[in-house]
Amino acid sequence: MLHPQFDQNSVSLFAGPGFMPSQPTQVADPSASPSKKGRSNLHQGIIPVTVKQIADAFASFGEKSNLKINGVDISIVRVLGLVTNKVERVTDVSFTIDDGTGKINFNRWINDASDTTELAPIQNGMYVRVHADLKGFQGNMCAYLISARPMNDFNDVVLHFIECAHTNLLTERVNTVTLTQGGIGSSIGQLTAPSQTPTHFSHSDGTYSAPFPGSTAYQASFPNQTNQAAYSYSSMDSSGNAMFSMVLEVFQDPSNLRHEHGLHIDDVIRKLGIPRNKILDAINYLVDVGHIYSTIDENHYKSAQNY
Amino acid sequence: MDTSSPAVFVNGEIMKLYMGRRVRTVVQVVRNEGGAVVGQSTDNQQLTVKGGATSVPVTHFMEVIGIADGPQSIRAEICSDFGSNFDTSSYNGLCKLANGQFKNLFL
Repeated sequence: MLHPQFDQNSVSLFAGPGFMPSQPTQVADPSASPSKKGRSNLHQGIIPVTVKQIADAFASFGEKSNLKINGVDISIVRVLGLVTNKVERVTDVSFTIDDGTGKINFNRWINDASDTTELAPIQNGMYVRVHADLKGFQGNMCAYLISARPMNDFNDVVLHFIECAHTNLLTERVNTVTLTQGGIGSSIGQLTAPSQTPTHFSHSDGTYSAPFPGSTAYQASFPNQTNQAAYSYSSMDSSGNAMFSMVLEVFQDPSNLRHEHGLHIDDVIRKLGIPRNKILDAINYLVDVGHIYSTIDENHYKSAQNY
Repeated sequence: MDTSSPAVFVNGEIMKLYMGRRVRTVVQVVRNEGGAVVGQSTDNQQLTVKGGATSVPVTHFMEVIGIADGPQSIRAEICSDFGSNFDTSSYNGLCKLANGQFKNLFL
């Protein structure tokens, strides 16, 4: 099986050969903020899922939010299983898919003859690969069929479920990263970046599916940082201010104020045990704002306050 | 949606943990014996499929969904011919994942 590497920006619902839905689907702005509600912020790839995952997502589905799996808003899913209860009516075709984890009903409105002919080969007892759009409405969930194709190579059955597990891992990892970033803690240094490039799975019938590409958005956020990165002068966050205060306290210590020439930088380093470059950053900042000033040379500084 | 009767992915070894439960597995057909099909599981154990589809040719792989009614026996509900080209090691790995780390996705 091939795993072509795609640039994150090129991932879209219509990437790859052999897949074009006959029913119009919503294509949203991929740069939409994830905090916006509504269908414009939905993940635009196809997520392989089991029926059990859909059922769990539906159980925690709220009227004003989207269906979520592992915190990811989902819309288009891929399900693979046995067809049962196919019913062809004038206005629509519906059938149930049993993938071994549960049964789910899919519906396809008949707009023209192409819809009927597309679904004609699908018969009860057959393994099919289904792409569908999940929508929740008034406490019910509707699965609108985008495409349904019979399967030729049954290794794809195994691959589909492995992809479900893989996608589950990716979305869990993204959630872990989100929580850690919000904390800005020492754990940043210990977190390893997720996989650098999104992996795509090609199937024997030429379709491609993208696992959650949003995971790659975090890959560049983890340069080699340690605990002390939180004290970077350039970040100017609350942790940086804490270090500047510590350095200032050393200069303002009454025992140090007695020295006519102030303190040598090395004395400050020895007292606090913080690396030299960080101390120098703090001293530069304190000089800029006027709390300390240099005395006999550029290595000696004294507090401007006289207690 | 109905998730009331899932079929667990099993191989010969894992099936022993799900006696009396609905399971699914893939066997390679070895021979037909009257109303039963004898097959080799993906972890090289011999399983007997009662009520198995005798239409699946020998050496083809057959997926069986049914009730595990013995340590090496399944009472089949649905049988599917998976052809002659099937990767048993991947399926075996999937059985372990589906009953281990990713059980919540399946059961």
